[in-house]
Amino acid sequence: MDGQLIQMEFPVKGGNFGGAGDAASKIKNILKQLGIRYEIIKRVAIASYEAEMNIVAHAAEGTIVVEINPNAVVVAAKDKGPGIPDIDLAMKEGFSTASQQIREMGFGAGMGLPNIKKATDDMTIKTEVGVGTELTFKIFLTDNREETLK
Amino acid sequence: MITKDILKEVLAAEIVLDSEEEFEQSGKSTFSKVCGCDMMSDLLSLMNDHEHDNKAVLLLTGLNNPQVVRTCEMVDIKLVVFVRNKQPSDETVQLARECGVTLMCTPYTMYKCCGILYDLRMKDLNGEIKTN
Repeated sequence: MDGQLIQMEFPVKGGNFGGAGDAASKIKNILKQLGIRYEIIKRVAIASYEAEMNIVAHAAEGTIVVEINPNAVVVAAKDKGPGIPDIDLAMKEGFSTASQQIREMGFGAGMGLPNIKKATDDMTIKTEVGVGTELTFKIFLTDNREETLK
Repeated sequence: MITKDILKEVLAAEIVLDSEEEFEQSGKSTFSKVCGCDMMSDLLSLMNDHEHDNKAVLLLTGLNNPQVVRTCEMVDIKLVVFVRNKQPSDETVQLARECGVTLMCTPYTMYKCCGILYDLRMKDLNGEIKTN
């Protein structure tokens, strides 16, 4: 990484079930090209894919912004969607408001946000009902997380 | 470790797409772990929970849409077996080709497939194996 900062932005269209996962796939391939450790790539891929599926399933449109700095991969998934009325409830495994269409694709079982939290080192949600949601997560590139946080 | 050819035989499976063959690497892969799953979020969760040699994991599923392949791409699973002869769509096959995922179809049910592979001492994602 040599201390540089890389930023990328990927648009995500709500309801585009055919293209769902395109952004996560591109992110994964870029991390591979950068020579990032496999275990890190897997966690970023899982969390990015779940975040992308959430935008496709619930929002009109959104973007996924990825920043790769020498310490961490930081991903912000922003959408213009219905917002989350109760974040604690949304974080419970098994709670879901997804449509039948998304369930038929193997998602919408209320695992998305818990999966993202589990795969990442830090996750925050800012949301406003009727406006949209911004989900940000971070995965540290180094093993020594305490040192990174200093 | 079980080869693709053995899996084809024991599951009476048809190979829909041999991605290894397309990349001229036929016969090199072996598999030791199985995940039987229709919920892709469950698969992502299970793959995140444990450190695997992901390329040694095969997915048994009754779901045949492109998201199955996309999910496998995320966690580097290289073989999907569709149960009950569910045929993947052209779109699913095309994505599998791009992602290097091999696709098989078996007439057997998920339950029967799991039983056969368990008997062959293949492990689940927790690493558990038939003991007698």
